[in-house]
Amino acid sequence: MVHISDGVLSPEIWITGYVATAIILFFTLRRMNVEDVPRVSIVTSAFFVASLIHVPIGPTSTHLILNGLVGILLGYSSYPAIFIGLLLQALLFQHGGITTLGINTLDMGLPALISYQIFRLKSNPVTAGLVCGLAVFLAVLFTSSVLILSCEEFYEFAGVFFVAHVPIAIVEAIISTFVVAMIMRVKREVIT
Amino acid sequence: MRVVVLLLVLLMVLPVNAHRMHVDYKINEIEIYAWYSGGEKVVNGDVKVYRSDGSLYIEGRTDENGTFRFKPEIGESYRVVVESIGHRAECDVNVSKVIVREEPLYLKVVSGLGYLMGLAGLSMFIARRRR
Repeated sequence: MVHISDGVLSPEIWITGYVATAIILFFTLRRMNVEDVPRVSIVTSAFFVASLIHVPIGPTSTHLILNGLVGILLGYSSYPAIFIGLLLQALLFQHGGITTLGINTLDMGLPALISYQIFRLKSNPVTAGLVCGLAVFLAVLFTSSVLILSCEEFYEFAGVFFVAHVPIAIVEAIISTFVVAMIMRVKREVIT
Repeated sequence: MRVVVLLLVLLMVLPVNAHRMHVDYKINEIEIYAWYSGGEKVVNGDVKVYRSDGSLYIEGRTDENGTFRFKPEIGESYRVVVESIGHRAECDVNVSKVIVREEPLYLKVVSGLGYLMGLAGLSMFIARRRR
C-alpha cells in the first residue's frame, strides 16, 4: 500500500521524486565502501521479500515494509538498498511502478535515514523497535502527503490508510527489537 | 442468400484478491447470432457446436432473435455450425487464448535474489578494478 503505482501521480511529482532520489543516492553511495556490499545485499534481499508478507485488514491488505530495520542495519547505504529493492519489487511483483520509483524510494528511504539517525543516539533493541514502528508511520505519512498532493480525494482515505498500518508497525517493531537484540549479542560491530 | 454468424462474447470482470491489484476476466457465456444477409434473423436454426477435436459439444436451436447461448470451457476452441432450411454457415470460436498466466511467485523471488547477487558481484568487481 505504501507503493504508489504508475499512472497515479502527475509527471511533475514523479520527476521531482526522481531528482530528489538521484541527489540522495549520489551522496549516500559516496559513503558506501566495497566491504559493505555483501551486508547491503543481504539486507536488500530481506527488504525485497518482506513486501510479500501480507496482513489482511478489512477489504484491503497491507504488507511489511521493513524500512526502519534497513535503516538501522545499513545506515546511509539503506537509501541505495531501498532503491534497488523497490526496483526489483516493481519489475517482478508489480508493487509500485517504474515512474514512481523515485518518489517511492523517497517515501520509504527518508524514514530509513531518520531511523538510523535516531538509533545512533541510543543504540539498544528497545529504541530499535520504537524507531522501526515510527519508520512505518513516517512512510505512510510521506506516501499520503504525496497522494494528497496529486489527488485531493485521497484526503478522506488517509485515516484508513494510517489505521491499516498500525498492525504492520507493531509487527515490525517486534521483529526489529529481536533482530537488533540478537545482532548486538552475536556481532555487535555490524550495527553502529 | 448467405447466413452470417456473429459472435458476441459476454465478458465478466473478475477481481482477484491479492495485494497487487489484478483485473482479470472470464468468459462466462458465448452468444452466437445468426442472420441472413439482408438482416432477417435465423429463427429456429439448427445449431451444432463442435470441439476442436471434432466431437459434438452441444446442440440446440436459435431463438426468435436468432441467438443461441452456450457456456464454454476455458482453454477449448469451438466450431459453431448453424443450419436452417438448406442454408449453412459456420464460425470458429477461440477461447483458448483467454488464459492469462503469471509466473509462480517463488520464481519471481528467486530471480530477484539472483539479480541482487549479480548486482553485488558486479559492484564489487568494479570497485576492485578501480583500486
